[in-house]
Amino acid sequence: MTGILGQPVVFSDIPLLFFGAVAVFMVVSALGTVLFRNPLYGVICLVGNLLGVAAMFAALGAYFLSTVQVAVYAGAITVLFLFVVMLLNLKIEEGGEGLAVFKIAAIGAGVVFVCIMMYAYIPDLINLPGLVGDEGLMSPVDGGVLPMGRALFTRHVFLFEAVSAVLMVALIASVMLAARGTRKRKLERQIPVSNVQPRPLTD
Amino acid sequence: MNTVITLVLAFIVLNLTLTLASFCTWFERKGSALIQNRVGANRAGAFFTTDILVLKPVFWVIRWMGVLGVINTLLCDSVKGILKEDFLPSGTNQFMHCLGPMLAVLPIFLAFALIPLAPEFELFGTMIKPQVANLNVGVLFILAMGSITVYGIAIAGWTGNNKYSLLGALRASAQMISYELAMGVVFVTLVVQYGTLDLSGMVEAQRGIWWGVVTQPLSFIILLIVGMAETKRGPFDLPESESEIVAGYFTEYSGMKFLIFWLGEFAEVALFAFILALIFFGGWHLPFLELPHGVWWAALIGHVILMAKVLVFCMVQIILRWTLPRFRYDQLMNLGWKCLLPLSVINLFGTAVVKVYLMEG
Repeated sequence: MTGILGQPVVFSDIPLLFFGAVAVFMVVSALGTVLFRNPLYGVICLVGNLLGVAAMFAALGAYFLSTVQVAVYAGAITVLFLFVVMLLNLKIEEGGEGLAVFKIAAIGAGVVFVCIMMYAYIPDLINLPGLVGDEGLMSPVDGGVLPMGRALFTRHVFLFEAVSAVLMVALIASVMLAARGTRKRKLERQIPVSNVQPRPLTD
Repeated sequence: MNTVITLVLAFIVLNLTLTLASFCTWFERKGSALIQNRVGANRAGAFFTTDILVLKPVFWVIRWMGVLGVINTLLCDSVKGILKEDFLPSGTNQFMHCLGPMLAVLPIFLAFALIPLAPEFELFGTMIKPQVANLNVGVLFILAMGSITVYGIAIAGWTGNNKYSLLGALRASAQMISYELAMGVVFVTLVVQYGTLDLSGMVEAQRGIWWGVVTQPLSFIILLIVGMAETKRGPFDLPESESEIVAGYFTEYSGMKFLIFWLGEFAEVALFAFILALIFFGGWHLPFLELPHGVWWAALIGHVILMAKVLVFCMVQIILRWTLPRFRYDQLMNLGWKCLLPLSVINLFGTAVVKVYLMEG
């Protein structure tokens, strides 16, 4: 990756104090996301974590990625989480017996994720053409919009479209799951207007 | 040197924001009185007199400010807000209760950092760009900051710990998410139109009579409506509709915390006035007036032109707010999803086709 001055960007280019503060904030908020029993606090911590990621992007000079991170993840997607939490008025989660399976699955997923990240980074560390490293994401002109668009619509176009198809499938599936049977029930529950007798005005 | 310039600019922009918010507060109170055929605030300070000759002109100014309602709406109300008891609803969290108003205001003030106040100029041998942060993502940053304010509203409604606040917060967040989509598409259209993300670059692209409102009239109408909806004012003030849900998400706020929500609202009105003036009405340009580039007095004239446009748009938003009746909630959602969003997408496709095949092909 090349930075603003054409030098390769490594993490040591970020001011150490800034990196340390944001990293601590990110770790704490990530822990808060999973450890808080109240789902609303969890969502707020998640927002904090996403803002931390955006701050890291900004410190690396990738202003466009940073702004999109705030606008899309913190601003749109997590608001929906918050919306659902508030709308359903979720009670504080009690530790049930089903949670052990989730815990093991979550730890397994975490290990797999770390392995994938290491696989992506190791070629970069030993100076081989790596999996990460699209040139110019941190260009000073227009915050890297042009190189990012090029990368998305040429090199990664198949993955990009595949991800959008997966999201579409997930969206339709969730609507179908949520709407299953509700429409019929709602229609039965409603009282037709003709059945409602107007109250006499003289009592 | 750059740090000093940035600090001075930040000071100026912060004060400008607060002044514009105060102006909007005053105009809202006094203008609404004019619209509703009332007199409005005109008493506090209106009868100040003195026998000391030196102080007479000062008291004359104070009397006039009192008659115009400036003292009442700005000074008395803020002192009242500071002195009032700041109570906390039972069964809620004090930290979250404070976080609500902060998150509702802070992003708006941050967004002002991206607003260019005048063209570039040279002073004491240094080129100054009157813009606090030069982030080169321009309008996208404003979009991102606008979406963060939803959290302030949602948290405020949730910490109110009653159903009316919660209903208000739900209405506000649903409304803001829905209208943000159309706003994002309009911003993308404008990026396609002007070929840059930078706000001052967008202004420079509208020299002469080719203002944004001439080249993108549909975008202007959509963004004006979306701006009114995003500020949760005007015909879109369902989140705080007093006839149904007391005061919506800030029902349980009192004193200065309550006033901070109002400050945020008026700052957002000023922000949208800036956006409309900058990207649709040529910013510091006037048709048939060519100012020299990079001279300080030209920048000053440009700044005055820009501020005149901003004040006009602040007033337009407030007058619209006091003229139009409130929507029903289903009408609001239909307008956002079935009217504005498809229109803005069609507008984006049309602009892209015209740009690629007619202007460059």
